[in-house]
Amino acid sequence: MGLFQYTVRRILFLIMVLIGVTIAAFIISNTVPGDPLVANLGQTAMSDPEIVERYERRWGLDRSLPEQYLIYMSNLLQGDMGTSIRSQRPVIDDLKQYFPATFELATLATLLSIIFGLIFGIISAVKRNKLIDHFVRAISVTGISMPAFWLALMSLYLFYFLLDIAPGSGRLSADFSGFSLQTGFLIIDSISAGRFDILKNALYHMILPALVLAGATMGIITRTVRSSLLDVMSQDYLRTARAKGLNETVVIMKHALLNALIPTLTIFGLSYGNLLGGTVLVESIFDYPGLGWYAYISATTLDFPAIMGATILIALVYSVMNLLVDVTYGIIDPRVRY
Amino acid sequence: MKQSGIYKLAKKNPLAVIGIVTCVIWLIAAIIAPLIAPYGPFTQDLPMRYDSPSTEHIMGTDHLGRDVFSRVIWGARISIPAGVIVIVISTLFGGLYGAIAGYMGKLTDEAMMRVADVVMSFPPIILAMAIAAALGPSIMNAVFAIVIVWWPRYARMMRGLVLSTKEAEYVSSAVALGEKKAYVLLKTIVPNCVAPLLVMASVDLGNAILIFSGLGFLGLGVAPPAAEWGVMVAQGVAIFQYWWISFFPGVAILTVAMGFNFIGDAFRDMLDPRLRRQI
Amino acid sequence: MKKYFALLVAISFIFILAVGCGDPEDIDTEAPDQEAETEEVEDKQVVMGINPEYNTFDPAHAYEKSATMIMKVLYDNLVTFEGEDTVTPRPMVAESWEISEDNKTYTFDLQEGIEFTTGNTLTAEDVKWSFERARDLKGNPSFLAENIKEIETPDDYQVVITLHEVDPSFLSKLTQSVFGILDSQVVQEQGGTQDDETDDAKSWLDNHSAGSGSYILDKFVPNDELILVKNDDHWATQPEIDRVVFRHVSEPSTQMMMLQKGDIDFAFDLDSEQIEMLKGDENVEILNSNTFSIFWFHMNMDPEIGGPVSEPKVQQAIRYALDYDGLTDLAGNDAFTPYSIMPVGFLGALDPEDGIEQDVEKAKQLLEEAGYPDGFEIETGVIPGMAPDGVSFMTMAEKIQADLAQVNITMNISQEEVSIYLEKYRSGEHQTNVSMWGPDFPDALNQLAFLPGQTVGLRANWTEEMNPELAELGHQARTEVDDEARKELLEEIQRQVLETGPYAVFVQPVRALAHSNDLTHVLYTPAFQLDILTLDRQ
Repeated sequence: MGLFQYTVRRILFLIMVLIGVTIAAFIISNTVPGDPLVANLGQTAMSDPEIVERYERRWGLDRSLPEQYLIYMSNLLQGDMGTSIRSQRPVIDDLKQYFPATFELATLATLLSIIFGLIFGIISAVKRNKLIDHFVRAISVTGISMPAFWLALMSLYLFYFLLDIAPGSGRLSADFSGFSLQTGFLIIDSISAGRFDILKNALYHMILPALVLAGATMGIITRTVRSSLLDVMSQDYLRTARAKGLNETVVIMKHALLNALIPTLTIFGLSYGNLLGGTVLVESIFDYPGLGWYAYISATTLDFPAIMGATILIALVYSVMNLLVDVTYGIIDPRVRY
Repeated sequence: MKQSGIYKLAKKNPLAVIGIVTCVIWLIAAIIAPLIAPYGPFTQDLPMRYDSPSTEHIMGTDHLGRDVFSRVIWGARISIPAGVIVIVISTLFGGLYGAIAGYMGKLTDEAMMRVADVVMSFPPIILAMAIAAALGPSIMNAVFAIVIVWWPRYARMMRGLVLSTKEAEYVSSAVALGEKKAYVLLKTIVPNCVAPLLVMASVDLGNAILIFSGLGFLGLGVAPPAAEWGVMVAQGVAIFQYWWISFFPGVAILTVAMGFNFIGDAFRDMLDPRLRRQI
Repeated sequence: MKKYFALLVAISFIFILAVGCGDPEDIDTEAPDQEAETEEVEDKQVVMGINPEYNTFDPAHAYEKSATMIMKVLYDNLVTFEGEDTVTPRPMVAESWEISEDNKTYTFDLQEGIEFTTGNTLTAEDVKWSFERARDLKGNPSFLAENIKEIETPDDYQVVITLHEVDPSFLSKLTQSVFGILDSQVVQEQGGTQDDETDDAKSWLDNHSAGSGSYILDKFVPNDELILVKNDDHWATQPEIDRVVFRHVSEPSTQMMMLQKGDIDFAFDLDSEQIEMLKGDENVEILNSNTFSIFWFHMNMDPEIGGPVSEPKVQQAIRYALDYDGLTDLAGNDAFTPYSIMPVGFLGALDPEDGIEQDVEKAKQLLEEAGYPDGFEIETGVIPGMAPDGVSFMTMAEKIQADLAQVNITMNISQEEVSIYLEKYRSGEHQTNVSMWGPDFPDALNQLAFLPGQTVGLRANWTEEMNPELAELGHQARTEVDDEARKELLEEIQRQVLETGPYAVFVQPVRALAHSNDLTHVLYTPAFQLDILTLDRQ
């Protein structure tokens, strides 16, 4: 099967899974024991049957579940995800506002975790079972075992309050608060407006949460790079290369690393989910107005149009990420296609 | 002889030893919590609120004057069993699910695995959070939510094992000899999958405890006044100028998760045949 | 090996550089944009750190407590309260008014020549349109306008409002944000109507203001920031601050740190412990403000739901069992226990000193008389993670749990998310819970909701039939126009509720705020919170 067919097949598969995702999200948000309608109406508004009825009609709450799902899906396809009960705004507007912040943060965290994961993995594999290997592995396992919410809290206390080298909270300092966003992506907007001071400030605000988020992913990548490097290094062609008298570093860099990257790529797709999930725990501590924070607030206030919107979007991003990884994988290593 | 064995292991894989020691310490602490905790986990002492670590309260006190050290110790009785239950149920359910899918094959397999795919297309904590929120906060609901997130990975592994064994020659020959296929599969698969299951479970145990405490932190886990580590970290967030309220429970989560991860890593290294080869 | 090391160093270096780039001093010295720089020097800006619940600035919808102070500067009302006063409404857009003999018709004469920030002139027609929209959109605050029967505009500067029922608190209500006067022309251009089904202006009004207030809504990004800019052409007041930025900072501890570092000028949501810590900081000033909120332990009167707690003796026992000093200590900042359902500061509120005090022996005795010498188990609904006015529901619940344990009552906390809690609470399904009530508008009549057959009473399944005399006292108070007579009625109501009501009121919080000491003229009132109009900075 060619790469094209493979990709098409994967996209079809993705669509199928996404339909499943919407059903799952819909089922969850409808098992809520409380009646979100009652809870979200004003104290006195509840006593007015007219208001109640209007609300019910507006949310389709008076229909059967399958019908409600179909209503939701047909609206979804038209880009309408309903109105958030809590914020009283269209969910799609909320998502548009919160998504770019999280995407920027996750991208930066990704870069950090890949850089550190690669370095640590290589060191660890080359110096297998030496002291430095144990040390690096201890660090990577610590990263994996770290409760992200706790690390966020502690690092904010340490780096902001005690050491004063990190900023307090939010995406920008108050001095730049008037800066109006076009795309929502601060990095893009600040560059296109030529405001490099804002770009700097945005990166400065992102670095601490990104590092916290990168922790676990970095650990996983280190582990994978290490074991796949060890695997590749034990193979015959490398022994040959070594026997030919090639420099050890050259061997690793040229031959081993490229091959070791393939499994790393797969694992990256999976650990990206951890990264996205981590935003739920970390963003609230840094008051970073992103999607993770939004998902959390919506879940705890049982704002179900918003819960559905947020979880579906996160699952979509995660699935697309994995699709990209798999297709890249297919390009690098044609053997995997079937 | 035995001592030298431990010594050898310690030298070859010191991390595994650290992991085992950590986990054993925590398990003992959990079992004898009432004996070693100097105060009750719920004993309030309002005049002593927010007391910093001292000889009297070695980890300080929280917003109600409760001893943080005692609560951390008692907390082991919630988080560790919760993690174990999550893994046991996920393994059993996921394993069975995957085995059935693999055995039935064809459309059933396809349909069953698509369900697993859907679950796996959510980042774990997101789905667990949504489910826990919908069900309402309680230990059992949190455990249930994490199980729902967790079982597909076991199902996938089990299905793979069943598929690869199903076509194996000795299975078909046994079937030809008149034995029931299901029985044969069971007999050959069970011993085959113990090792990988153990590795997966020990690595996942740390993760399950992390997610469980994450739910607690988000307020979707255990109800106060229960001493749950995630809840305890959350209680310190509002006032982390008194760092000890959050710091110590967080260390507890970290060390337990780390302990299980070290053990899991060592298992993996031991069982991964590729890595056993020396370079 | 050396090469890896070099690579590691290089990457660490890049990384440090990236962090270094953002060094705060860098920003100050390098922030290059010259125009922006000079402008900032002249403009007075104040940055607030707040964890707000506001999500809309449409007068017909905004009802959140933290929206009050913002709506007050975006929109002008017919009448207003000045300073800390919440008893005497004063002229604002209405120069003067007259009330008819039967107390049902109000005639307002408007100030002429008031311009909206849009440039249009404010007329009687705008008042009529705005009020009708507020009433008919059926938003959360619409009930405040429900009593309006008819609005007439004899000419451009006169408004005549006729009520369905006599309402001594009507002028008080008119000071509320729901009666903010909108530029009806602009709002209609933005899709505004007076019907909930067709009105489209809300999302526009969330990001823009269409009033004649002293400030203009410049930008609102929910859960991120809100920016107000001074209206230089306001007809009456010229505030000192040019730009007010509200930053969303959810954790009190972060607010405290940001305040100490000078990243924010004003912290809204500190708790009592942080206030204590800040007392030594010479750059920070602490401000205490009364609130009209009360917290109480809520008990269900329906025997099927309440079980033992539906019995008056048990309720009385629970009132005696609570450690009020401990609870107010935990609430911090000089919080105190009010006499009963009437918060101190409202007409007729009785002296807290005369209220109930902890008496564990008496509580035990009462329980024995009621037939529960060995206690019983109850379930208590509590919202976790919420601390209105700095008082954490969960902390209060955990303390009550310990107090009740002393009289052998085992209290199990049921942690409920806000919406689930509210649903159970509003439909009277909680056996017990820890509740809080902040009045909708600053008037004693609000508290009548606690009486049998009224909003809060019914949440305890306390029906009018259970105590018809007390209910009748409430009806009298509601329509009594004479303040002295009203006061007497209210006092009697409090005494009876303390004896027979299903509530154990334990805290009226004092809200503490902190601000940097270069802010001056800081006025914070329970009714309107921070007064942005008087604020100044050196």
